[in-house]
Amino acid sequence: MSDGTGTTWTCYDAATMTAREIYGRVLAELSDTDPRVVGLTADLSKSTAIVNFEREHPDRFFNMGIAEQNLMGVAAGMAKVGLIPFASTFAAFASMRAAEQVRTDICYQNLPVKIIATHSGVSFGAAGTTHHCTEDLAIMRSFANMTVIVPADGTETANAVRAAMDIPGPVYIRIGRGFEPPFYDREDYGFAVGKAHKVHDGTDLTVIACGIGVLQAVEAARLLKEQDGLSVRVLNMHTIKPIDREAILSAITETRRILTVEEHNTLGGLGSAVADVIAESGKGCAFAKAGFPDVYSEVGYPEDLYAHYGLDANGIADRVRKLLKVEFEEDEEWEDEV
Amino acid sequence: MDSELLTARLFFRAAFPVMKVPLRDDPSMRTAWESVTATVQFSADTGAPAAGGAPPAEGAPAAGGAPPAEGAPAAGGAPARIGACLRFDQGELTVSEQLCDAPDLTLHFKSVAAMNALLRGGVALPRFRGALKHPLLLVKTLKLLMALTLMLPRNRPKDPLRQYLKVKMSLYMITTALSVYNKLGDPVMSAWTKPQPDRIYQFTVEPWEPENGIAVFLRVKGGRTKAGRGVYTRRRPFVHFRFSSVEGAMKVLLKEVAFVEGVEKGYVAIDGSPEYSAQLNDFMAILQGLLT
Repeated sequence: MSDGTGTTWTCYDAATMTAREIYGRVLAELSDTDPRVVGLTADLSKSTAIVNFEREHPDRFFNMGIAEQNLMGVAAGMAKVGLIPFASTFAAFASMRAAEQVRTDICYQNLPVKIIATHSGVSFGAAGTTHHCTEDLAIMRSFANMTVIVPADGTETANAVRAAMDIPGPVYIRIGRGFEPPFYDREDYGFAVGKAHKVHDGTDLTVIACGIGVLQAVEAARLLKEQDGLSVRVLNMHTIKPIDREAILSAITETRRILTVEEHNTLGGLGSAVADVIAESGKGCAFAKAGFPDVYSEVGYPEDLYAHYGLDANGIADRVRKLLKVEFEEDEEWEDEV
Repeated sequence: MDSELLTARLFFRAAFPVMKVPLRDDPSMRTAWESVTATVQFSADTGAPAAGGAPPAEGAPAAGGAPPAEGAPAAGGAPARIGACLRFDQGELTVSEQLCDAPDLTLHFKSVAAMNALLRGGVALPRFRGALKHPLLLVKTLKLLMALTLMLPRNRPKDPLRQYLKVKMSLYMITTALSVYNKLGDPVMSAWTKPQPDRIYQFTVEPWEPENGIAVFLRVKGGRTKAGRGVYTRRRPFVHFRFSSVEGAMKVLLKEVAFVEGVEKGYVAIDGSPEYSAQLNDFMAILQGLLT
């Protein structure tokens, strides 16, 4: 994990360490050793960084034009004949314009198509609501057979792309626009699909985050420790489906308060997946979700939007303070046992 | 609050209840008390004037009627007399910080300081009331008082049962004393507990098992505190002091080794916040200074 968690981030890092760039590089590496790997896009070769793959393996690269439904349909066909297609486009188009093809052509047949969805959340900031994507996790996790992964940074994207190769069914990997600061400084921290990674330990409350929220949550945990003396656990819940029930149940019993952080509508995404586990557990837990509160985001620079919606470190810290004041405990017996 | 008065209240509320441990876990003590149903009062004059002017008569209620409520002033100021009432019902003990209604035996001290001196293991002679009528009760009570001295640092038992009792009683007393110290309004302790969310400071002696193991905890939440027995299961401890064994706990509690040295040598391990465990340790040192 990066000690600076973003504070030492530079323009050089943007070119070499972001999720988008690393995805393109890792895909090129994978294709060197596995001839089944093919790359597809819908006229977004440079924007999704699959151009790295295109340069090295032009014979295995297919630009389907501005036709996302076709992109997914062709990828399904390629998977059907034994290839492992990586289909890259913007998250808004992968999850909504091509939703039916993803569902019926890919997921229904449980085909090993790996969808790399870039520019997710509000990372496309000024491009506006048409290019924002705050619904994809809700859509994708409702498709049977689909594995949904939201890496915290470029390093984790590399792990996710490699792990996707071993998953026999479809995988949706959600990444940003290519300016995300690095969080991990090495790849061997123990990434496993379906297993949350504890990136900051604590006992007062657990923040369960994914994507860019992980770095912000850790910054918040440090801030809360310094300013308020609070002990906050942070889980990087990179896999939204299948969700790590064990880590959530431990958070319920060990900290009794959970805040989820996601760059997504608060309906249907990480928060809802965690809420399902809490409700099914039958255990008491104070719970809150940070995300976009069932609204279409304002338009602006991503960092301004994160701050506006309380998804930056300060916003998360404020939500933690608020959640700690929620009274729910049955254990209000304060007589000393003697 | 006056330091001696504070110490006395800590003895009443944190040390006396610990008598339950030898009553339950020491076979000879259990046998001695199992058929006893009686009331024993410890009391001391504070020096403050009683409601009617003169100090109340020994063993008599403070203002002529029902015993005064806990810590209630006799005439609008400090109480003239303070006390604790120990009720034994077939050996089962309950302790309340108030004067008894009609005690079978009273140990009364001329001053709070004299009572504290005795309870700290020093020399002070109380006046006995009811001793002639209940000589056996007196003997058993003094024996029980002696059992409390097991907690004193100078007391270094050799046999395993007494070592077990010493560690258990010490941990029971210290967690209760921490909670009582906060409840009595010590400003430093209050300032420490008030900003804390729901937190558990757990102490266990390994190997811990529910029936006879030693485990105690202090729960802190927004200025409130509670001393509890066993392992708190509703949340993970914020700080967990894990003593390696009864022997390891003895070495740390008797200060044969400094706390840091105890950690280095593996007698105690601490999981959780080092800053808060050090702060809790400071409060424990303050209480140890008051009670021993």
